[in-house]
Amino acid sequence: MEILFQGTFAKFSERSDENEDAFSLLANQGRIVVCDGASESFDAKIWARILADKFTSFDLTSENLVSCLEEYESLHNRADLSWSKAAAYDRGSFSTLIVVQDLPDTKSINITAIGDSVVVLTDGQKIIKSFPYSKSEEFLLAPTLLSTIGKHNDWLQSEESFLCSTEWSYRGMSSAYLICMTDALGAWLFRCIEDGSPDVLERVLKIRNEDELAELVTLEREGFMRRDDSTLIIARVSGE
Amino acid sequence: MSYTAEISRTSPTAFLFLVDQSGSMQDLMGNGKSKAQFVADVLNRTLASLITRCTKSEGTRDYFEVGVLGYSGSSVENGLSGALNAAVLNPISLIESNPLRIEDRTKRVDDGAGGLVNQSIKFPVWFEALAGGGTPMCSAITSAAEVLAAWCDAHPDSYPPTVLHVTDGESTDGDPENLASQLQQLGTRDGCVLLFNLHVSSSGGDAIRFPTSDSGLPDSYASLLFRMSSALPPHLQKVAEEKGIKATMESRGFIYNGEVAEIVDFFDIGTRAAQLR
Repeated sequence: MEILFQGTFAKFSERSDENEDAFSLLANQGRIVVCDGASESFDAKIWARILADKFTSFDLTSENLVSCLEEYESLHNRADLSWSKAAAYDRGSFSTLIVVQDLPDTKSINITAIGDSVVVLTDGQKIIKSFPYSKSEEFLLAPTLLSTIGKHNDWLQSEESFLCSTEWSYRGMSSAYLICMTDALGAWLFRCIEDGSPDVLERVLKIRNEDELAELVTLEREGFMRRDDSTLIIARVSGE
Repeated sequence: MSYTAEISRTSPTAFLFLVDQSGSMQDLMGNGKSKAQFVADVLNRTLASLITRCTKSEGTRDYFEVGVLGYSGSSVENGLSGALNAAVLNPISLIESNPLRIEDRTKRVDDGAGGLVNQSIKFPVWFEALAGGGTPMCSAITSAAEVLAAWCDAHPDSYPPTVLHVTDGESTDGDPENLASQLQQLGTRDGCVLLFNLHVSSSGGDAIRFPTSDSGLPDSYASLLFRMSSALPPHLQKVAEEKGIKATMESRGFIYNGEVAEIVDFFDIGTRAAQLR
């Protein structure tokens, strides 16, 4: 796997320190992790960072998620919080999670996705596959996220959790690109394609630095792209 | 007129609560509390909930400006005291830092093993229950319009203000329908002011929630409140549906004969503005 771009652009450029997206990569191990901390959270920035760091090296299991919760709790002392911060802490922090694992031996990609961050497989001209969403309207749903309130993650023990993973083959594809995006970018990309603008893939795949990402996002926010922290990872894999 | 504007610190929205404090609000509800006390409790909980939505580890962000107008006798008063009394609408961070007091209360919560345990919680109080005198609804709506006209001028691109009006009786200072209509003509580029009305009852009758027409309403007073209520925007229809309340494009933000559960739902649904940024 070759990483062609990795970067993020905050919802308010003058407040980049408030960006609540997090990502982590191990290119030589074919691993990409993207997390989008939810705005209505006590400390989504920290929660997203903990998840991104943990799942770069470990699989999504109950034990590893508990370890993330313990790390989050160790960083906050509820007893020292004001009433409002304690209430917000009790409400929790929330984040999406995407884990992409390249399996070069089988020319396939394993994906785990919780929430509304998306992964797209493209040949550069069209979308071959996407997960977990494939239409812009799906981004209007209220997604289930990973929470710092342990009981909110109980569904991971249910059969529903199988819906969070998929595996794609890219065998035979001479140029296969993976685009990992948080929701504002994903919803915009799908809607552009639905509206008949297939060159949007080309525009995204051309991005090679954060200035170019900022330029695209700033321009498209004038249209229908939602103002949100926007993270983009572009990787290339070879199926031949 | 879309009610889709992003709510941010540079583009906040406003919630204004209009609370009837007339004498009949002393009547007891099914839970043993007076209507005035129960409305005050739910209002205080709603303010705390709005603050919680805006609070992050570094502090409370000013996504909202919030005010309370109480009306009774022949006057309309700012329902908030102390530092919050200087203006009707205050940034939510100022409300966070200026409760009248913080009470220690106990609530029953899931113990994770199928049972319930008591948990000590902090219950901030900003608004005190009061009840006495008449129902000067026209004056209250006029005061709300004065405040919100200025607010809309200052925030032309914001998600428009929401007025949550709680009453249990008929106006004693005239017909409020035209004034309510004028209030709903104020607005921002994102939409007109939303006026939602809750009629509180202790009669034990069935509640009517978010009706689509006034044809099934019991009397002219209920019809008046229906006509005074804004249509529910799509995202609030969705919130109502999530609570199991049927709501369509024609549904008005109006509950008639509301008791305990309806009062809680009314405040919750009415304060679910679009997503915060």
